[in-house]
Order: sequence, then structure tokens, then C-alpha cells
Amino acid sequence: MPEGDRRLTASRLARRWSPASLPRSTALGKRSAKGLAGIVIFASLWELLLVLRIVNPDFVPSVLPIVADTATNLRDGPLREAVGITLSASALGLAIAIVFGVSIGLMMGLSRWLNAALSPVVEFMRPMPSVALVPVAILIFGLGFRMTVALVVFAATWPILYNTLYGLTHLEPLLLDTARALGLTSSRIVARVMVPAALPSILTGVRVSASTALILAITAEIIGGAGRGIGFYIISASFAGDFVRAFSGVFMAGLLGYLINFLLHVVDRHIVAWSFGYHQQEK
Amino acid sequence: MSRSKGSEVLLGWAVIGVGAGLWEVVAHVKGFRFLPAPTVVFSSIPTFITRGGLGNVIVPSLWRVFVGICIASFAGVAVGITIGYFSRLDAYSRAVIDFVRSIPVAAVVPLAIMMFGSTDTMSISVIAFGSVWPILVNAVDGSRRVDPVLIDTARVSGLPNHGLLFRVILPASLPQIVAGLRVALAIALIMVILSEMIGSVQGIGYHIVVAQRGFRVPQVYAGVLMIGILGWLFHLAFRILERYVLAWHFARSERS
Repeated sequence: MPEGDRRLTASRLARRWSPASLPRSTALGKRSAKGLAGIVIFASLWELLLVLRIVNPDFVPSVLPIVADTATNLRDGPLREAVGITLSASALGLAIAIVFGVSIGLMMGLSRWLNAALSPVVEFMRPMPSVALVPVAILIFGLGFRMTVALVVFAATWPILYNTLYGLTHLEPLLLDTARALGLTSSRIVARVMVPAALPSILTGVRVSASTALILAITAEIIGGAGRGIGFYIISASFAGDFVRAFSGVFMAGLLGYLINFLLHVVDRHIVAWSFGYHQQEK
Repeated sequence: MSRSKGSEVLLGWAVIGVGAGLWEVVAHVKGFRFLPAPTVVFSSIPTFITRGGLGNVIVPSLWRVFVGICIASFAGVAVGITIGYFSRLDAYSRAVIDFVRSIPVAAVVPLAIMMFGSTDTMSISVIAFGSVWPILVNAVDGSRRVDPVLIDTARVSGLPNHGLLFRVILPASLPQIVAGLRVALAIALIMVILSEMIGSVQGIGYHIVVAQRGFRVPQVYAGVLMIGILGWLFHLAFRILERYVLAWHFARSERS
């Protein structure tokens, strides 16, 4: 059986469930139990600080009300709507950024002159903190959903563009030489060799941009004080003095960020596995 | 990109020049309200800096970044090395750290405003909260990867515990901590602007928002440009600091 074959066979199934493979899963269980214990310890410390009045209980609510408020408002309440708005702004912005980033990156990566012409502009714009552009975006797009999406697009384009360009300009020379020696036309080299080889790098850019998108969406909502997303939920609650709700919004924002990071981590492991296998096959 | 020829570098700058020139002409002829000409933006930088009083724009922002980064470094290194050295703590703390770390830092600014009001303390605590994570994570990683032979050698040579910490573990994990500090500095710049935009009465971020609310468009762009310049200066200053602090490390890695 070839090494790359991943089909499930009886012998593999048996191996997977054999006692020899069990210690790994119990180790995993032990790890998550410890993680859970850590969370409980953290929550208890939080309560302890409140009880001892090291942290002022007038400003910081205790843990259970925050979690309860999050659950209630998430089931049928404003938080659910806020999560939907923030996520759709991030997703829309990310989608537009992928189109921009990949197409500009492809053009720059394939044309030496275009690359030379545009790279100083890119180098100038890339390190600009997107947060600084919120007031500019408010001036141009007004307060609301469009402003949020525009900022997400701006922030999320750079990692994708840069990684597309990097992937195309750091290909293995042997790959291109082989393709040329085999007499492939240049359009086929681009479509069948260069773009597939750059794909892992492009996906890395998308991964970085995905977490940036969420952060920027929430940031824009907070500074703009509009858009009805999670950022607005947090800032309106805190200015109304509703501390439980404000903390619950932050908790929700953290939860979303954590879930996105977790998902991307899983996706990334698959990409890395695939690209590693790809390079192994090449050699 | 690194092997570009002189003509290509020239082309890149020519594109910037021509683009700025076109922008200038179009802005003057058509007069877009929200896209002022580059010369107008540049010439309003002095106005931007002096309008709020010379010491009220850049100085407060720099001071907040400095104090915030100091707190973040101290806390991050202390907690990070503790977790890295007592490796059992890692499994317990990882979930909590990963969760708190994935809170978009802008979200905590309203909470900080509730607790501290529109004060320096608010800004500094937000900066410290945002920039502590890269330092902490790198300190954990760096101190865990210290060569065990190094630690054993130090023990055998009879180095006391605090000697082990300050003479062996801290220096050995310093290169990675400094790498974390670089990321932290970029975050700190973002956090100071952010906190000043939402709730402050001083600083660059505050004055950008004031200009935006008064529709003084060129000054908004001037402020954004100031932030870009500041970020670049931070980067430069950090490079010098890194060369100085880690001179031994670079010398060592060049030798081997």
C-alpha cells in the first residue's frame, strides 16, 4: 500500500482502536481536564478578588451573571443579532479582501515590472495601523455597516496580497525548470505549476486575515459607535452603565475570537499536512 | 523583491511620484471633500501638532506607550518565565491565556473607561493588556527551550536559584522575549491610538477624532500620517535597541 493512501482499511481501524493508541487519547483528555481546571481556578480567583474588594465590585460583576447574561441574550436577544452583524461584516470584508489580495498579488507576482512599480506603495501602506484609518473611513463612508466592511477590506487585504506575492516569488526553481524543460507553455506553467505551488502560502495569508477581519470589525464598531454589531453592543452597554452586559459582550467577543482561531488552527494543520505531502511528492 | 535592479527601484518611486502628482492635480481641480491633496496634508502636520498645545498631542501618547510597555514587559516576562520553568503550570494556564488572548483588545477599552474614566491610567492599562500577550507567550516558549545542559551545568557549578534565573534562564530566553517585544510595541501603538480615540482628552488619537468631528479633513490625514511616521520611528529605535541588547547573541550565532 502506498504511503500517501489514507483509505480506512480493516487493519487501520484495528490499529486505531488498539490499546496501544489509547494512551494518546487519555493524555488529550487529561490535558483538557487540566485546561478546564485552569478556567475554574481563574474564575475562582476573579470571585476572590471581588470578595476581598481588591477589585471594586461596583465596576466588575462576578462570573456567573456574566455567563448567564450572555446565554440569555444569545438565545433570543440583541446579542444574537449583534453577533450576526459583526460576523457578516467580517466575512464580507474578508471575501472582498481575498479577491483584491489574490488578484493584485498574482499580477505583481507574475509581472516583474508591475512588482517593481507597486512594491514601494505596498511597503508604505502595509505597516499602517488600520485603526488609525477609522476616522478617515467614517469621513468617507459615514457611520455604519459600509464603514466597518471597508476597514475590514483594508486590513485584511495586505496579508493575503503579501503571502500571494511571497508564494509566487519563492517557488522552487527546480519546479519551474522542469516545467519549462517539459515544454509547457507559459500560461500552463502559471495555471498548473505556479498557482498550485503558491496555494499553501496564499491560504496562510487568508488565515492571518480571517482573525484580523474579526478584530477590525469589532474595533470599527467601537470607535464608530455604530453598526449594531458586538462592538456597538459593548460600548452602548458600558456607556449606559450596564456592566454585566458590557462584560458579557467582551466575553462573547473573546469566544468568537477563540473559535475562529481554533477553526483556523485546525484548517492550518490540514494545509500544512497537504503542502508537506505535496513537497514530498515533488522530491 | 530583494534582488531588484536600480531601474526597478526607480520605477517604484516614479509610480509613487506620479500617483501623488496625479492626486494633487485631481484634488485641486475637482476638489474632493474627503481626499485632500498631499501637499495640503503635509502642510497641515504642524497645525495638527500645535493645535491642541505642543505638549498635548505627541507627548501624552509616547508617555502612555512607554509606561504601558514597561508594565507589559515586566508582567509578561515574570509570568511567562514562571510558566515556562514550572512546566506543569502550562496545561492549567493554556486555556485561560488562549481565551483572554483572543479577545479583540478594542473590546476592553469601554470596560477600562468604565473603571478608570478618561485618564492616563485607562490608556496605560489598555496598552499593557493588549501588548502583554506576545511578550508572555514568547517568554514561556523561550524559557522552556533553554538548553537543559545549560541549567544542569549552572546547578553543578553551585549557582543559587536567583543566579540561575538571572544569569542563565533570563539571558537564554532573551532573544525570543525581544522578538515578542517587537510585536508588543506595534500593538502598543495601535492601543494608544485606540484608547485615545474612544475615551481621552489628549494625545494623537484624540486629536484625530476631534479633527474628524469638526470636518477638518486635512488634519485627519495629517494625524494618520503622524501615526505612520511614529510606527516607523518605533521600528527604527527598536532595531537599534535590539542590536545593542542582543549584541552577544548575534555575535554567537554568526560564529556558529
